[in-house]
Amino acid sequence: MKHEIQDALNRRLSGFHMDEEQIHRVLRTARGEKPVKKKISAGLVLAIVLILLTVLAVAAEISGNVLSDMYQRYFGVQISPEGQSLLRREKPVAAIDFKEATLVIEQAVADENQLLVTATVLPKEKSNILLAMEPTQPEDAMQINGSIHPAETYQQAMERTGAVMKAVSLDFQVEGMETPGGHAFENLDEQGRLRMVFGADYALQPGTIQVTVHAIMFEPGEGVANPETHSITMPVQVAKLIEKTVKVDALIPGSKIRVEEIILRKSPFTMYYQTTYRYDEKMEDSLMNPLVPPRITYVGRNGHWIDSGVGSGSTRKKDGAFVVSGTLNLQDFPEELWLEVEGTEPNTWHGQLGVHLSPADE
Amino acid sequence: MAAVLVPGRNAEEEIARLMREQGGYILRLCFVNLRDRGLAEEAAQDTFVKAYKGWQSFRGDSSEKTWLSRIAVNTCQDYRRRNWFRVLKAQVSLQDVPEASVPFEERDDTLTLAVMNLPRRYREVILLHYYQGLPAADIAEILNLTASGVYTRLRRGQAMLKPALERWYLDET
Repeated sequence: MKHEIQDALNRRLSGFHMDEEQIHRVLRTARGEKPVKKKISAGLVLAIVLILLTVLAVAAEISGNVLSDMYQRYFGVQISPEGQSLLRREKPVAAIDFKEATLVIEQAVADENQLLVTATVLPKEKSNILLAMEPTQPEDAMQINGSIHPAETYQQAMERTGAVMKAVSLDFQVEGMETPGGHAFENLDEQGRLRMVFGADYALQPGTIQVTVHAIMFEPGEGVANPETHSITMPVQVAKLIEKTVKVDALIPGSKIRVEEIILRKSPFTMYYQTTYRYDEKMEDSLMNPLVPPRITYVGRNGHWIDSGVGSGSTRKKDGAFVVSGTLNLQDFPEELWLEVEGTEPNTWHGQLGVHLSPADE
Repeated sequence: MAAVLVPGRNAEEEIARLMREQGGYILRLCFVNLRDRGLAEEAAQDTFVKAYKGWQSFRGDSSEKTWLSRIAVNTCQDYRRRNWFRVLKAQVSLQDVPEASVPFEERDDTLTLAVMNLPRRYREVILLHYYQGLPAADIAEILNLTASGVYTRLRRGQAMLKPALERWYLDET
């Protein structure tokens, strides 16, 4: 097995290498001249936001609209009135009865880009168990009670309550399709309720799909220990996306980045974007890796971020262009969009480009 | 094998050499570990910055590769804690990886994805043992485990990999 693994990884990942520019960059950083990276990663921002908002979440009851509530709390994302009405449920979609907890699937909605499922797990004896999502070790567990030291706080919580840890995970399967990537986040409150939001990146057709949810509860430790598994299948409506393509083909002033195209796709639940751009000429910023997309941020006219940070990803095409996708905190197509980018080296360059979206683009 | 410290060479020259020799390996290790290209590139760079800063304390008790791997594994753990949202993906893909510089086969994709989809505790030991070729004692030191703990994880990791690789799995461990 050894040789197979070595050969497969070395061949398949052979594109990874450190070039002279990266070496130079690391050495400059090591000398204390410049930091390797300037920006705070989206994940770190989200983690900080989560920590701050967990305290607020403690006071909140599980509303009839978990997704809307969680998106609003964690990402500042407003879900459109149309989306709100699709999300509103008189009763939960389904419930799964584990020996020690009840898992309630509150919402299951989809658009052509993704399946969204929200769930809350309620321990039957709340003092007996502490819940977590995918992580199965105390040091991986989510923040509790607003602490910035999750492992320590988790250990303290276990000692204080005498509870044991259980992990709960959900897997989704859309009939006839392979399971794709996605995102997930969770919030464990002091009532012992674990709230989870899952987004899976499917390419779906409008209509009704059959979704099977595999829910598994297991003990932390070596792998999945003592699993308790339940599966349910349910119908989910897929909402149609409305698309608007804007051919830009313009340099962001002050930078060397040429934006080629912006595609916006409006869903009842979010606004997806896909931006194609490239370095227009050799990037002279020695801290910038030409193989990695510079972070372009979408901002509103007032300069506030409107990029939600949810579901972002990027690919690099063979011709060198980057295709970066994500979601915006917009309910409807805007009249204009502002893209902001800055160099990694301090005081080198900073650019902003305003793009007008005419109704004809729709 | 212990590293040979070359008299007269400073940390900067040594770290530059290590980046040329081991940079690709460390990047691959970080990518499979973190399953996110952007994070992996940041983690690999941080690994070498830490190596630079700790160069004077490197006594050559282990090989340079083992020493770097230990720093990289710890750096990845830090990144995972800080970036849990990005790392917590339902399933990984190879879409983001740079274009391969050598030809590869379909089964390379299958095996790479199978390793990347292992739970982290098994992924780490499988990578360090099968990819880097480290003995259990070194892995135990890097991951702060007992040797028997390493063997347990290796065994379970192998068992989890095997079904995904049945078409061409060779039992020659």
